Amino acid sequence: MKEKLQLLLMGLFLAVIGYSQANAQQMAKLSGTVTDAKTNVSLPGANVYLVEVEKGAATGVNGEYTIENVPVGTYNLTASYVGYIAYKTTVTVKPGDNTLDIKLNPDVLGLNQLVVTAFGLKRAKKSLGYSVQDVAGSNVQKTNESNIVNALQGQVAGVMINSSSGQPGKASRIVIRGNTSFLGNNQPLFVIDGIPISNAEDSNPSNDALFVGGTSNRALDLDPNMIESISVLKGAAATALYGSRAANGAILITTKGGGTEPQKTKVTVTSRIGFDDAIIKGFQTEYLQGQNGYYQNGLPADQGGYVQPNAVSITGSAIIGTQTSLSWGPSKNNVNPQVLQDLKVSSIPTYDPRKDFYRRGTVSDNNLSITGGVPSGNYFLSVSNLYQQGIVPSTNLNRTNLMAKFDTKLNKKLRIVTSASYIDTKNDWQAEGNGSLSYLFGLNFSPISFNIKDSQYPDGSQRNYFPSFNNPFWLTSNNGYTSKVGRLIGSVKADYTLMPNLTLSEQLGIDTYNDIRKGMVNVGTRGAPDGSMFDQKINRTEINSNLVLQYQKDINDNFSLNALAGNNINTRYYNSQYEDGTGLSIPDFFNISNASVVSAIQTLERIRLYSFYGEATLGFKDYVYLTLTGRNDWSSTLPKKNNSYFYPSASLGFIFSDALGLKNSIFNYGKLRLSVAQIGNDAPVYSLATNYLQANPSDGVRGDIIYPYNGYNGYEQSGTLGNPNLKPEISTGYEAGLDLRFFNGRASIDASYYTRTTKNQIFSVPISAGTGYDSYLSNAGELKNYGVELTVSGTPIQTTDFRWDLMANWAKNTTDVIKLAPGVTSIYLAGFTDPQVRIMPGKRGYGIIWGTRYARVTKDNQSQYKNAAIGTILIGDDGLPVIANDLGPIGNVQPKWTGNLRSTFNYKNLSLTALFSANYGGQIMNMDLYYTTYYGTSSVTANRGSNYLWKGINVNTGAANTKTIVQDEAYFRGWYSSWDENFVEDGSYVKLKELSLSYSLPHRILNKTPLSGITLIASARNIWISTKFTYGDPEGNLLGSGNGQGFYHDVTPNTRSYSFTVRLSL
Amino acid sequence: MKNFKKILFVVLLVAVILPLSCSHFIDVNKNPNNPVSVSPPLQLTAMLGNFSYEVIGNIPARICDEWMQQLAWNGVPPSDDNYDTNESDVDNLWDPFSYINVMKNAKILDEQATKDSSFAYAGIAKVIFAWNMSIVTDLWNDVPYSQAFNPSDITPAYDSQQSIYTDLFKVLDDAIADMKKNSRTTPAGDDLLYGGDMAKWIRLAYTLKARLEMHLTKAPGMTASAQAQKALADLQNGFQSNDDNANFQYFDRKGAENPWYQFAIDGKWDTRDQLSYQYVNMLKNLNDPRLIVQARPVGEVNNQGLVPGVVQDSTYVGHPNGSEGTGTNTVSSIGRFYSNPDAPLNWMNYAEARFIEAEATFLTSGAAAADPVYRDAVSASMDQLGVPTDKAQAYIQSLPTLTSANAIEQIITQKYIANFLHFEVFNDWRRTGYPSLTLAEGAKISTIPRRFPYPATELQYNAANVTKTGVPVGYSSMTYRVWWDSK
Repeated sequence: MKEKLQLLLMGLFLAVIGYSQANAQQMAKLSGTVTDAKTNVSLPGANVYLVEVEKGAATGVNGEYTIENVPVGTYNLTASYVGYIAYKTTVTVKPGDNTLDIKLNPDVLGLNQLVVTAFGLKRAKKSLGYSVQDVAGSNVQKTNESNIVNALQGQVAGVMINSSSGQPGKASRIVIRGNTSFLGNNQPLFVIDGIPISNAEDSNPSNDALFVGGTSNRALDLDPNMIESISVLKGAAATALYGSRAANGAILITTKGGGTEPQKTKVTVTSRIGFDDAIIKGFQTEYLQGQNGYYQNGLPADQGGYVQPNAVSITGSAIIGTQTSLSWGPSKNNVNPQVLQDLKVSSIPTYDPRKDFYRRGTVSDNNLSITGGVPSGNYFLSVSNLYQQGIVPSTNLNRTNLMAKFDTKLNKKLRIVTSASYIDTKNDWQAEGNGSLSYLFGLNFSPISFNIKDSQYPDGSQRNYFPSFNNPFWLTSNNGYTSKVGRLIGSVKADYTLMPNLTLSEQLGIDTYNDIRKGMVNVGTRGAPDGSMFDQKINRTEINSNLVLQYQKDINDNFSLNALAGNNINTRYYNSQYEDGTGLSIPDFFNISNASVVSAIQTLERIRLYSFYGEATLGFKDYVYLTLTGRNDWSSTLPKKNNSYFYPSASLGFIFSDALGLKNSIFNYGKLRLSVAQIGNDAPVYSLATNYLQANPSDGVRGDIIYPYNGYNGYEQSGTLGNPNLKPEISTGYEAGLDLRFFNGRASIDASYYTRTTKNQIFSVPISAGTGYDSYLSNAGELKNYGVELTVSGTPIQTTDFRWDLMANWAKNTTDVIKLAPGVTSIYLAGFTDPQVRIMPGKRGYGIIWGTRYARVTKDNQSQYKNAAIGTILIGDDGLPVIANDLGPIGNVQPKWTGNLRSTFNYKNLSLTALFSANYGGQIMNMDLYYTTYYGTSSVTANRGSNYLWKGINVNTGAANTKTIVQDEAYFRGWYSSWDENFVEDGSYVKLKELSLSYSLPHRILNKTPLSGITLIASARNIWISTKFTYGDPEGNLLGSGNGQGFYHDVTPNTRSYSFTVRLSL
Repeated sequence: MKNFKKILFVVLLVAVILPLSCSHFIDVNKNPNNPVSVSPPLQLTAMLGNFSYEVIGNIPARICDEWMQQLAWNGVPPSDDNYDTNESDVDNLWDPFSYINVMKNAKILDEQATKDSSFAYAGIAKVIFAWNMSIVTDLWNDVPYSQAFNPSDITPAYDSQQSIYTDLFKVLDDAIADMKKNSRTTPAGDDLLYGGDMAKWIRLAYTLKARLEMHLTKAPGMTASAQAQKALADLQNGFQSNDDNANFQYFDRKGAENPWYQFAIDGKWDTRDQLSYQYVNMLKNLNDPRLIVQARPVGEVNNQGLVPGVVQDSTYVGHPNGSEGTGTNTVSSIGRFYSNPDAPLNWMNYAEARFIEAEATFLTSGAAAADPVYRDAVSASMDQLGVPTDKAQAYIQSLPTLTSANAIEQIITQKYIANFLHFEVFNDWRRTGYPSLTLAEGAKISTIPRRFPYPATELQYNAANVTKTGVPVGYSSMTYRVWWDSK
């Protein structure tokens, strides 16, 4: 409430300031039209501005403008329109009516395009010596994704995005140009209008993600409706000025509004409804619950439990009175008549448990925004609400965003931009993962002969096809997690023009949120029969001050200089208060007072960073630009003796087409980019000392002992050895790029090659526990990322009414793990003890799937096998692959390359866009396939009883294997589901990620209405996927946005979605 | 220009003042969440709680007592039950339970308490250290010892089991000496095992020493009689009655329950770790009155009546090791004496002291001399388990008289029953071959395992030293013998 009040006051205050400047005078009038110089088409919405009197106007639907009350005199006039080269002239205004028609030249090459770089500084794109890629806000909004990270999917070369789950609000991971840190954060910094904000995933405190799944990444709070554009800073040189916080790149978000030219007030209402359907694939639909072809219904004896008479298991033992959770019963078309007679049915009813469970998700997204300006400034106000009901019952996301932004020129020298947004995000989600609390644990094994909708017995206890799993419906109506986030992002920025070429600006920003969470496990839950709950309150606050002195000067006709010096102060707080209660006295009452044992944990963190930085760009003749930067950080997390560190960068932009006179009618523009940069990074908070932890004996499985124990507290020294001698880590990046444009800008190629090496990483080096510790923080290891990014775009067809735009991007990144720490041969990233995902030395060494595997022909044993090809599978006399004695690499989660193709057809006011995304070569550890094959519900088991011939050679004779095996229950349960390598699947895919059709009503219709625009959009996402992955869509990762990816296990499937949008502008 | 001067002033102020205060500004790296030092009583409760839950009541007993066919996995094979035990399954015991949570912390407590002249604490720390280390070396043979607990050497070399054993006896002697000294501070309730009764700790240390001496009866270079004599000498000062039993008390309260309860009964994980067919039948054949204490009747799977529809049955049934599960309600679960939430976990008992004495007496003085001690030992076990005296006596009388031919088998078999759910039964089996067991169904290796594979973290982070031991990676490692387990 306090934040809300502050916001309101701030808004009022600025509104008063803004409008007090607009006072009336009785003067002359200037009017005219703005048109395209080539086609003479009128340009509605262009800005015309008289510099000295600070007056201006926006053009109407026919390109006409009128500026009233202009004092007589001579002025500098500017006119601008998106996509056109800015126009400047001098105009003499005489008493009465004056007319000036303006013709703008299209900026076909985009040469004057400004891009946002570090600290929100706008730079001409042509002057940059490194790669920056822009995403228009409209492309973000078109995706209809509620999470901004997902909305970036496919838009920028070299950016990898993985959504972790199909539940609303679940985290997505974004990585630019590969993982650069072994175990630290690898995701970019998010910056909104110059203010760094948190994109943390505050994990579920009640258990490890393996057992309860991930949570949300906090960029989720951003409303895509408010975004004007996003600038993606990829390489080290682009972020060198930002320093360590942007060591993994930066996502710079510019919200709507802004600019200094007056604009007509524009009210836009956008309303969208959408539907999400679960992508369900990979389950068999024929075989009933039971074993060895005998039918069993899984229910307890006193609740109608039934076992087919004379049933025997595959081992030959009689099944008397015991039940099974397996779906290895008879085919639904071949049930023993005795069973039908016993149960008095003509056939066993069957269901589709997965379809029965998932519901159609719905989304409504409504946004009202007002933008406009007067000569002394402009404003942007926005209010939105997104309400999403997920495909899983009881899962919801409800987000409300309020934003106000005022940009005010207080006088000729001082300009103040104030913005504040308040966000309220409520999220209800369900546990995922390997545990009885996860609804998927029961759902994925649900036999087709069980009606999961019938989830309760008359006495209220839960009913399921087997007593040790929870019924998913019972779980979703009893258990779950909630989060209520209140977040304020606000900033004040003052620009003061000290001298014509010298500006001083200070921006002070805050991002603060409280996340109030609750976890609920009701009494009667299998695996936690007494119930449990938690309350957690998280506060994360970041305050950032940035002071910049900027100098800009054209030294002479040849040389220009753009220099700045700045100071940055950054503080970050984290406070988590967590109360865990077990043993609930009253069912369904989740108040901590209801718990029989309560334990509490408080975690406080404070990090401060203090920096000075400078940048100078020297331009020569508009075709050579050399930029040098330097930054010195002082970080609180490093030891005092090492806490100051400096790092420089240099980049060169060389427009060789201009310098060497290479331009012709085909080749219009060519630029070479070269850069080298270093970035320093500090240590994790509180990592210098070795601490004591409250004792918490556990069995590594599910049980534990809570201290204080029997009234006595206990502390043990942690296994993590602190390091009081840490040094900052410095990574070095090189980048070369080409920007080529052809055919009057209708075709362009942008290519980059980069390398980035991080040596002496600050990371927690796992060590032999024989030392008494399992890890020590060190400066160790070396990791290199290198790769190529290619973006090709063009307009193959362009006529007056029709236009076809194509954009393709392709990226290949290789993470070469050059060395780990001394004595360390691999590092655990995620997963179980086996299988797991780990880091190992070598190319593509980040994200190796490790587990039990087939024995193969190797260099060592090749001679025994008549020199059969290395890698050939060795098959035993039983026709099954021999399993190697030791565990080893069985896959790699990193894709070999990613690519996207966007095609847009515009015909008059109709626009059709298709975005295809491809991901090639990444593998997935599909733990679900392991479990569902064992239980007999996976589609792999649909061909039970059929023969199969494993390809390989006999381990004894070396001859090609000819022994076929029968794929029966014994095979699938006893052999197939025992070995990890059987479950490594190719995660490659090609998707029609996005298809949207939009139609803007023509002006001739609009002219009869008070509206200036009506746009209708129909769009769909994920409607076509081509993949070998069993479950249809390989996107999904149990471990949320963490470094361990490719771990598909009990995660909510991704969705196919459709939505319809109406946008009205006034 | 007036404004300009003002601004310039501010800029200069910022540029001059801020850097001056910078070092103070960033001096915020003191951890408010965790202390960097704590007093011995707080370390003691942590160490004892960890040792009890993470070592005594954990992997060594859980896995080895399936191998020893007291327990069986009534689920789907493969499992530890038929030797599907890999480097990952045993990893927790090494890292972090033993080397970090217990032994390193015991070292720290020992050093800190010694410095502080709190010798009682130092003595307890030494006992726990030695005990845990003996379990580690009994399971893995050569392990880091002399180079261990020193993070400046991150790949500690492995010491031979022989040298480790030699040193452990010294550590226990030092512990006893410490515990006899005047201590500046003494434990009370923070001693979660004996409530500060140092006399009991001393008797425990002597009994432990005797146990370790007996481990070496067949060790190369040792003689059974010499080891037996040492053990008998130690037992003079060892446990005197069941009052001395090392029982770690648990409570019927969330987060304070007995480890067997949490592991096999409460349904948090699985209720399918139940009794072995071999074991139940052995007790049935012996008509052993302890069966109904050690096993629950069929159907009494858990304390909550979690499985609806299960009908309680007054029969006792075990599950054949390695065979496929038949449903929890068809097999006996671990008896309430051991698996109630508030059951104490017995670390070592008086009966074991008497069985050691019986075996040592046999080795030094023959069967006749050992016979009464053996019967006392069984009686002590009956007493511990609360078996009525008449039933106990009838049973003891039914036992055969010890002869030189049957003595070891009889003593060790009875010790095996008395030490139900103890890791020690694995040591006795390796040493003596009793009770004689047959291979589990679907066994992953052709013999019953004789050791643990080296753990996954050692293979990853200390690979060169693992290689030097000559023990391969994989199931076959479990057929290798530890030093004292000579053929």
